[in-house]
Amino acid sequence: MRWSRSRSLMILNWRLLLADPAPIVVTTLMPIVMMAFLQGTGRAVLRGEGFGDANGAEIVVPGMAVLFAFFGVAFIGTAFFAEHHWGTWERLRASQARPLEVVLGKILPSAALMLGQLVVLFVVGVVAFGLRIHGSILGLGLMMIASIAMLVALSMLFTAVLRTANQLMAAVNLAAMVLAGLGGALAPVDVLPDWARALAPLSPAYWMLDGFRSVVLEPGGLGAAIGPAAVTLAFAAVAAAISVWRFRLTDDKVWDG
Amino acid sequence: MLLEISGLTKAYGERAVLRGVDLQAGPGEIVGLLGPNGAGKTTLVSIVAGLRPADGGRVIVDGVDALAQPQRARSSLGLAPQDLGIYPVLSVRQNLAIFGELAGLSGAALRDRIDEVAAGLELTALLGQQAATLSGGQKRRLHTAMALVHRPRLLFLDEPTVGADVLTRARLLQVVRSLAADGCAVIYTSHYLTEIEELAATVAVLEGGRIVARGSLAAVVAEHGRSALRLVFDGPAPSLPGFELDGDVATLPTPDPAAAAARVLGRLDGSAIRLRGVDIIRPSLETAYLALTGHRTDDAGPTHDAEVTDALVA
Repeated sequence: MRWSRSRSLMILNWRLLLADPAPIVVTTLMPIVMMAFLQGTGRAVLRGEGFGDANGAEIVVPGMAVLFAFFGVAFIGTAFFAEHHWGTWERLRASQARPLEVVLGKILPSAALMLGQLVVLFVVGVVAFGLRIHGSILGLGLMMIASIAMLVALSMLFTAVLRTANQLMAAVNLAAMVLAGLGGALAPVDVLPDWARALAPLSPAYWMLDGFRSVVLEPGGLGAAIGPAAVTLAFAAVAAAISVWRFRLTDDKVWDG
Repeated sequence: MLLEISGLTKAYGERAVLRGVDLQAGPGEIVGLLGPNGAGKTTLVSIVAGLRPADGGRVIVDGVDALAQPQRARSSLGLAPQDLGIYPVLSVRQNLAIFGELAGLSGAALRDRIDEVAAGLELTALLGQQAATLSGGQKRRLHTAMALVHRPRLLFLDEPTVGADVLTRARLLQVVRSLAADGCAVIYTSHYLTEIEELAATVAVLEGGRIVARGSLAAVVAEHGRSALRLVFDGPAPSLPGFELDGDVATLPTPDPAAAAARVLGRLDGSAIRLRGVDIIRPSLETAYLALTGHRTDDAGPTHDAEVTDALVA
């Protein structure tokens, strides 16, 4: 790998991402709107669980942040599909850039964007919704990084196995609603139906939200986040392994969006 | 040699596309790579550029084994694929810069090279413009320019003038000549045979997965070009001994079409009133190409042609 080429590719992809900021803006503003709607429900649920001084932001902010971070999975997949649509994928492959540089050049700017989105949502949670972080800030950071790693791996998995942009968008929407919903992003797992509670640990979102809960709602230290972060990273490792196994630079991708 | 291909094979499943291709190109040479759709031209280009694996054979690019070390070989190679490949949301300058940067150019050297390539393809005034807003011809020029920005020693242009207007086409051909004059080897695939003639390129005809003709334009035309007499009728062409019929056209391959016309025209009888045109077809790249790719089974040579003409006249 050569740093100058990697840097050029990252700048290229950063420009491509920002050329149409609408998806980024929407996936950042929508959760803020949803937080406003759901904070009262969150407060009622938490007070019912015995958190008398909770204001609801403790579960609504992480929940919406995780739900919309799942929608952000589309950023990376779209970045690959768009290259095929523009006819530039073959040009990149015929350039002196190494395959790993091309792939990382696409992933890292999107990953940074997704991480930035998470940070912004938590900051807005603190400033606008009175979110108090009761536990470790380092633990919170660890959970953010583990979550982004999981979502990046999931996006690469979708990119590797799906052929069309419409398939990608359908998969992202389905994954966001099912996995995040099952993990407790829309409502705490405790209030989900029995079958959903049984399935919840199979969703990486469950472990993401478990980790966030341990350092946001509860006064957990960095150690409290390590377990959920490790499980989240294990999901990421599985998704990444399948991606590496299935990803082919020579695969045709169809932009039918 | 900047390009040495020998025994190159490639199959997609059961279908063999390249069956042992041999091709060389030296510095300053323009090779017109011709062949019908599906002949394997794009597959050949893709393999040399490292975009597809080969099943067998050797590809040497500027002294580097391109199949074993595609990354190293690509430093000498430029590719403008058949389909347009540009970033529509970036400016013309940004489109050029990224491929220069990937080749290791930076700073003043990159800026100078972008200016040079842009001037060559009349893109200077458009450097700050978003690529999406360019006309079709301007996009085609940008597409080609992106393959030139790192000064490749071996350049593949895969049907570069498809959809190009007259000005763009003329500009592209001028740039190809200029690159060759600077020592670059250019592999130029096209269906427009007049472009190969205008470029004074050497010719390689790919047919059935093999190079079936290779040499200078004059040599290929001399060896494979066919002369013929062509009669065009109002309505279906009548059955005439030795003529190939295609709708309202009857074609007689013959080494001396003028003499054949003199003999044949007086003997058309009732069909003469429907005659709308008489063409004397001289050997050309087009007739050579047709003989090599479309009429190979009829290629019985002058003896056959003379016999047919004699039968008609008798």
